[in-house]
Order: sequence, then C-alpha cells, then structure tokens
Amino acid sequence: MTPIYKRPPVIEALFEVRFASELDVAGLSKARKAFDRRYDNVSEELGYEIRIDQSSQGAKSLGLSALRFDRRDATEIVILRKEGIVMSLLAPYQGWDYFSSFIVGELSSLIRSVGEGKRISRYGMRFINRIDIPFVGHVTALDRYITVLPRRVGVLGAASSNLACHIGAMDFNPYLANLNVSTASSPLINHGAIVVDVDVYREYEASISDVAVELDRVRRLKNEIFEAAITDSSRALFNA
Amino acid sequence: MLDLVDPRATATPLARPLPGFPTASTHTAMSGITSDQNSVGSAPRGTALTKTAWRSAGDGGRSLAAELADRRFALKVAASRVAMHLNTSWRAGLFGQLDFLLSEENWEPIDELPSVASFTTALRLVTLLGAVKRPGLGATAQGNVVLAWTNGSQKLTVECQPNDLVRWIVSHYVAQERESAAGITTVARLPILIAAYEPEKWLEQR
Repeated sequence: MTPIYKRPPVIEALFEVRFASELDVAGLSKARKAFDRRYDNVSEELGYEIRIDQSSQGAKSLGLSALRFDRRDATEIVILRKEGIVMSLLAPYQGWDYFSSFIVGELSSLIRSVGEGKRISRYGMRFINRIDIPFVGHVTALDRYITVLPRRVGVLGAASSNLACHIGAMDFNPYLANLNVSTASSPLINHGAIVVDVDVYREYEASISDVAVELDRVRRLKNEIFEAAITDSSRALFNA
Repeated sequence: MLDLVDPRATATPLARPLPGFPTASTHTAMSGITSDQNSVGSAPRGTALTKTAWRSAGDGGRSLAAELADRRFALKVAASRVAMHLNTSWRAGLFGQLDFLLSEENWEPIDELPSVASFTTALRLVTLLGAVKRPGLGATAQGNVVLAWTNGSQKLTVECQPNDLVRWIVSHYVAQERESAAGITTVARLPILIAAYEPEKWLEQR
C-alpha cells in the first residue's frame, strides 16, 4: 500500500502522450477551443528558423508550434504540441484522485478535439520529487535519505558533495522506467536537497482512450520505484 | 562516502538535477528564445537553426497586460517550489496579493516588474520564519519585492534583493519612545538581527 504523506515532496507531476502522427496547425487551433474554456491564460509558442550566413535575412517564421494553457494560480498547466500533449500539476500536490481526474479530463478534451481515432505512440508519467534536508552541522550522509548511490571504490572513494545517478530504461514489461537521483540546491535556508525523478512510460500504438485505464497501474509502479529509492528518514521529513 | 554538504562550508556548487523530458515548469519563458537548443553563437556559418518563443495568445506585441500576466505566472511557479512548506490559505492569500499588485489598474508601467530572483529571496525568508502572519506585499521601482509587517504604528519592512540579500527597517516603540533601526544583511541573518525588537509582535499569526 502506498503511504500518504502529510507534505508530499512532489514539485511537479506530469503525464505526457505522444501522437503517432503530428497534428497540423489546423489541428492545434481546433484543439485550442476544447481547452481554453477551462484555463485563465493561453500562450502560443512560435517557431523561427535562423540562418547563420552572410546573406542572413533574419529569422523566418515557422508559425504556431505549441499552445500552453494555465490557471490563474499556475498549478495546472497543459502544453499541446504537434507531437503530443503534456499535462502538468505543480506543487502543492493534491493527491492521486485529483491528479488522475485532471488527466482523464484533459484526455477527454483531447479526444473531443482531435477525434477518438487519433493514435498515440507513447505515454508516460513523471513525478519530480525534491527532498529538503535540514543541515545539522555541515555534512549529512546521503545514504540516510536515499538508497540509490553509486558504489565508490579506490580513488573514486574521495568525499564528494555532488551526486547525479541515472538508471535508465528499467524493464517492467510492458512498461519502461527511468530514475534520476541528484543533489540540488534547496529553496529553503539551511537545507540541502535531493531530487528523485521517476519516469514510467510505455511505447506502443494505441488510441487515446486506451491510456486512461492504465493510469492506476502506472502509478503503482511509479510509487514502488520512488519508495525503493528513499529511506524512512526521508519519509519522516514528508510527515513532519 | 557521499554526503550532502552545506554550501556555506564549501566552494563546490551542488549539482543541478539531470534533465529529463521537458517539463511544463521549465517552459515558463514566455518570450525570447528557449535555451534547450543550440545557441546561435556555437553554430557554424551556413547552418539553419530552429528556435521557439512563447507569447500570450492574441497579443501580437508585448502589451503591459501580457507582461503582467507573464510575470504573475513566473512568480507563482517560483512559489510552487516551496508550496509544500506553505499553508494552503496563506499561499492563496499571497497569490491574491500578487494578482492585485500586478494588475493593469494598479501597476505603474514605468516601474520594473518584480524580479523572480527578488521574489525567491522573499520566499526563502518567509519559509525560514515559519508560520508567520502574511505580510503586506509591494515592490520597488527597481523590481525588488517588499514585505511589510505592521502592528499599529510599529512596522517591520524588508526589501528583498536577489541572492538572499535583504534591506530591513524596523520602527518600534519602547515606553512610548520611538526607536528605529535599519540594515542590509542576508536572509539567514535577519531573524538574529531583529530579535532585539520583539519580532513576534509583527510576525505572530492571530
């Protein structure tokens, strides 16, 4: 059973769907109507081509490449590109029910705008967590908080304050997963931070509506990976 | 042994997180060329580079309304990074203050918009102070965020500058005699410097 934390360390929760074939500009514009009613702000990403030579005539516009929708409180963000869609919730993380409803709602909007027949080639769920660790003295052993550490042997055993550890393409058939663990500066005074970034994805051709039924399974795997990467000292910080 | 080292004790910068697939919050740049592709300076002559730039929909230029909306968004994204350490209603109140401060009706276009770096210093201060009363929110013409806690005619004002620097002013009464003090310090040192002025009278939540 997945623990429920009083102060979840999630700084961003994302769900991404990639289309099997790109949307055209007309498709993007049509999709815009399905999303902009629910959001306070809409932004457009425009593409430019810049030639680096003596006859350069400046930047040539390539037109609309993406749309971004966000709420007034900047907690919910949707970026719709020709290649796919990213749905993102920023902290404070309000729990799985909220996040899964958000994804299902946006997938429904997507189906309404691009049609149920639109095929996808990949989807993925990514949770970026930051563990803020108070400094007691100047040095804190990382293995008190995380289990994923490189093995240090011989000359590699010298003390170091920097860590960036990547475990890629872990095979959990039919899913694949990436885990990135790294030290980072904390936004809190007198704290250091460890970022634990879990990305679970599946590459297969399916329809958009096939994705929603897989959410719980992807979430379980994502949680198992995260829980395996942290220790009880980290869990205590999330419940302090 | 791998350790987490307090940066005050070392000149070695802490590593930044590894990049993954682009996240929504890394796409906050609303104008200008995004940095996730080759820089023009490194490209050989004759090369064509593809760049992208965000703009508010329906805004062909950079109107004041669009710039204010962009900055409100950027500041709220900055606040999301410490959202798990802020009370929900406190944070909602702060966002209401940002909306009011950075509205077309209230903003003086000749002033610099409050910078994300200054707002980050403000967030570091309020998370360090813990559960405190929400301060009044303002900004200087140079783009620094100002926090003000008042109690009657007594006041603590803090101008938050980038990189954890704060300029503080205290106005305080002792036996009906007005006493004032001011200084420039770091966020970490501020609680120590204002301790003599009984800061709980400004900061305590009621």
